[in-house]
Amino acid sequence: MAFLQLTSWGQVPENTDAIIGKLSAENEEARFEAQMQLQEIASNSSRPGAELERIALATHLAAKATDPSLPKTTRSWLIRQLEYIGSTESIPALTSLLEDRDLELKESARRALEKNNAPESSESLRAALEKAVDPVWIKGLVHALGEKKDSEAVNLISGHLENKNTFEAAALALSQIADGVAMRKLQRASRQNPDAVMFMLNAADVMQARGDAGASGIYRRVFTGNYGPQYKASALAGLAMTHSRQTLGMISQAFKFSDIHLLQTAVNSLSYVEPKRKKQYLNRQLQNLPSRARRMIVSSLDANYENLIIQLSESDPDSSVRQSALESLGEVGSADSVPALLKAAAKKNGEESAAAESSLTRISGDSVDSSLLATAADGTPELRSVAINALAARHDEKALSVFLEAAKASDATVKSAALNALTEIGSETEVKGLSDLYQNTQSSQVLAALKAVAGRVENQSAVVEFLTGEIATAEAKAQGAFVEVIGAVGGKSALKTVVDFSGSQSKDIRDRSIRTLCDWKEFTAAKPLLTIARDSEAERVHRILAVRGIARLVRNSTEAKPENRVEFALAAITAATRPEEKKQALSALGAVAHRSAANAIKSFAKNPELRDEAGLAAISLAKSLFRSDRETANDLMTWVREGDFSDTVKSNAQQREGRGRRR
Amino acid sequence: MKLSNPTTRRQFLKATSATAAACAFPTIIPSTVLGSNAPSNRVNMGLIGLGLMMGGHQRTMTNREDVQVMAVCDVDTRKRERSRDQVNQAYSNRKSSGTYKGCVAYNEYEKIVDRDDIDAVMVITPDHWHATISIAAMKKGKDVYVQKPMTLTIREGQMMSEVANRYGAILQVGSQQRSNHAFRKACEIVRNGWIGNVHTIYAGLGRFAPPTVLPQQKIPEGFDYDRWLGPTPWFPYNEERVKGNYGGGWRRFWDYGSRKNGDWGAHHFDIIQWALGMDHSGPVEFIPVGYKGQEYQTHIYANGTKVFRDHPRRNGHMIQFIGTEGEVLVSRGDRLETTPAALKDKPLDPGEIHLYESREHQDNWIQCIKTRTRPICPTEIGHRTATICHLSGIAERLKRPLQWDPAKEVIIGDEAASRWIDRPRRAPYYIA
Repeated sequence: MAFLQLTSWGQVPENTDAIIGKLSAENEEARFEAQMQLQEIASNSSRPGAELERIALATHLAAKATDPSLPKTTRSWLIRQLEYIGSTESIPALTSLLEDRDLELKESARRALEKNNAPESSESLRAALEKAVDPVWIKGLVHALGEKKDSEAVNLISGHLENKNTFEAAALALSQIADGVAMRKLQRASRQNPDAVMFMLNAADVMQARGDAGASGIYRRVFTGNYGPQYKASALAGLAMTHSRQTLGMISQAFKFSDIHLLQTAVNSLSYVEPKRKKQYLNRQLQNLPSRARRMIVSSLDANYENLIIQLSESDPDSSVRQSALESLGEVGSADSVPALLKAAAKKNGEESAAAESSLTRISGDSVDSSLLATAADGTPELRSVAINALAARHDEKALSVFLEAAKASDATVKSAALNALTEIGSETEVKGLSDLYQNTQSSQVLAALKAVAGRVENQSAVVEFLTGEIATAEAKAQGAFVEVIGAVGGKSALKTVVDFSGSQSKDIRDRSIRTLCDWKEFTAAKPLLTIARDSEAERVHRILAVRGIARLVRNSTEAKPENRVEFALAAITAATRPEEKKQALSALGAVAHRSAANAIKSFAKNPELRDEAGLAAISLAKSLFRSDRETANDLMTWVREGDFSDTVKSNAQQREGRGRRR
Repeated sequence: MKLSNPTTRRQFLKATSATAAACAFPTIIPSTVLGSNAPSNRVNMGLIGLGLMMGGHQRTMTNREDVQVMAVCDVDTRKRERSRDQVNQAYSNRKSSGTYKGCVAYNEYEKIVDRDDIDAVMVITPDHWHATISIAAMKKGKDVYVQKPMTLTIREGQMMSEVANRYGAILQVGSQQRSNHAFRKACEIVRNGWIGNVHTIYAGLGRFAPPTVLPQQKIPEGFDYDRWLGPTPWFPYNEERVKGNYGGGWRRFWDYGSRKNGDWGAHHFDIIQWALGMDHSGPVEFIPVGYKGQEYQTHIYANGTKVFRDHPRRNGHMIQFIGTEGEVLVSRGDRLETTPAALKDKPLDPGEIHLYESREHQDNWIQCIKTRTRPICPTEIGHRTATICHLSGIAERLKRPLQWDPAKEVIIGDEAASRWIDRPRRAPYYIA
């Protein structure tokens, strides 16, 4: 702040006049810089505890602002600073500026006086209003006096109620002042102009804020009078603030109107009624209200009204009210609401059931889970399956043993819900139980659950060891299934185990193992798959599947290095016995966003069998390299454009290039 | 006579909005608060302010079967006529007759607000018009979608909150990050204490070029410049001043907003408020850059949590929450990273705080209009967020820290700063 050269306490910074001199500089940048410097000086002088400094500066700026020899741009910026920091010392200057011939300076001075905290500022504005003729100028002055809540201006302002151009500004200003005289003037005006009711309400708010009981009367008159629903709504909300005993009666009346905004405000206002009275009112009157009002009310009730909401969810004659109640229970209900929600969800009757199911997944409280668990373990089949679904959606791990038990149930609905739940959230602990269940049932749904659980176990090697043991003792039919489960576990030990099984004497285990390897999640399976693909003694179908498996891993892997992916793709192309698989592996190269893949693809330029596939892979690779390695991407596209490719490939390249240009 | 226990309007708002917050947190908006026979199954709409931001809104609204755009409004004749023609063409394409001319274009917003057949308005003007138009619309029984930041001044926010509650209006502020999964999840992680006590937050707002003095240009034919300026001080016309532009235009100037604090702060500070559970309160101190060597603009909550603007350590993210037990980084494009990494995919337990879920911001507003339920970003929330934007801007202009009482909504011990709670309006414009 090099330009802030304060001389001493209470004096104007030495460089102020120099800065003021630049406020009208021809050069816009210099002018802006001067504006910011002066603003900073003004802001600094207005800091708490620097009152003498502020007075000195404001006095100086005020004198300059009235200097007609200074350019308008300079004076305008000076007045603006007075708007921010001016007080008593600025009044004479700003008052004289209200007479200025320049409309902009005059208006700026009016705004500065509006923000000026000295009482004399109102006197100046009143004096100007007495002489004002232009409606825009009158509005500005009237508005400023209203903002300042200037009681002495009431008679002056009310004179402008007669003119339709100034009526609104005058009524607004009177409502901001809202003393006895202003209110009488406003009331008289409202008899002639229905729009004045809005300002009566404004005035009532001002009265209410200062504790004037007269506000209640205005709110009541507007609510019961022949006014639009939006005004009734505002009056009702105002009345609620006054804690009037009549509020409930008016809320009750409001619920009979069809206007949605009025209903909304009635619900808002209800939340402000003393809790005991509100409860009594709802218990007695809710059933008599229109269904739309009941719906809105039920959606607004908090946990204190849980019993009432439960009652409505069960017995309200209107389905949409019941649905709203069920939705609300999800937010504000406790364990007490669980039986009603379970019952509603079990009905399977569309939206109400869906609302109940959704609420069961969200509802919180100490005993909610135990209540659901109890039903999941021992209830009617319908309620059990709903409870199991809810516990699964709530990721309640305490329920897993209950799910496992329910998976053995004779009822198909319960069994299915339990297996779905285990599929969703079952853990390592359930592997043995599910494994036993599968051996007993050979059920595909159980196997799916077991695979899902196996896929998220943490101790992979322990689970693989357990499953390997199960294979040793399981019936032949189950052995192959367990190999697939080991595949679902994934990881190093699982891979080794499945690779070992791929050399099994059992045809079924060997086949299931190789197919499992072909679907392996991790890139580490590429190596054993390549061994199979190259094995001329392996079954043809297994060799084909192995190449496809490698192609899939090359295409999808995010963990393997690009060079590795390229290496395995090229090896798979060599090992493949049919063109279809060679093309699959080549196409997979197009997904390896790396320069090494580009070189590999281009090496097939002279292979008539694979050339077109290479062209398509190049286009695909160019697309994915477009942002990260534009040079390679452009090189690939040039290669395709200039190479010996079919029309289909060329046209594909042209389309791609067209899209690139548009981007 | 005096009332024994008068309640301030702000207390009333707090009571009603707190009730709404406690009991109206539907994961999905209740589908039948009004029922299938609700009169407002189709919302008749007016679009006000047809600049850069309105383009997407207009397309969304004209594409909806449950919305009919009845009128458009802009002070630029060319824009409003083009918009009117686009709306009419969109509806013509859907009609068997192939013609529709029902959408009307106005220069004055009052003509839309006064129409009884219009239910709702979108106010997508520059910030200095938000409050005036929104308040007029709500008092005439309209529901409102208003661009962020909700206001130009703190007092405007207080007025808008009050009017929305008093007139039963559904108002949605366009801080649409609340309707994004990643931001909601980030807030739920913070709110549920998964990263411990959050002590530091970084938010990236970016920077505009400074406002500047512009040479006077000729006002284009058909452009109502006086009305564009509206309640703000008069300046000579220059295209740059009125231009809608993400990189500057009117957004650069203090007269029409709070610069980047209002532009991106209205998004990121809003998310921070949500994450900290401060939707009905706010920070207590604002420190500008440069004050006693302050490197980053900062605001501080009563519990000591500090929010730093434009701190470089955000790993390329928009917001970073740092807690005693972990971190959350979140950005647009559904980008969410956490430490520990598993937090971002961890489901919420039923007993934990589930924040209001909205999947699409405008749709949330329309659904709330129909169901008369609280939208995800209503006035009180928009006001509290805008307050942070404005106070940050005031501190920046005054180059000194501000102490703020979020309960009483007053600046403590600084009369000159307190003047900025509201700005005087240029005649004949005022908020009625």
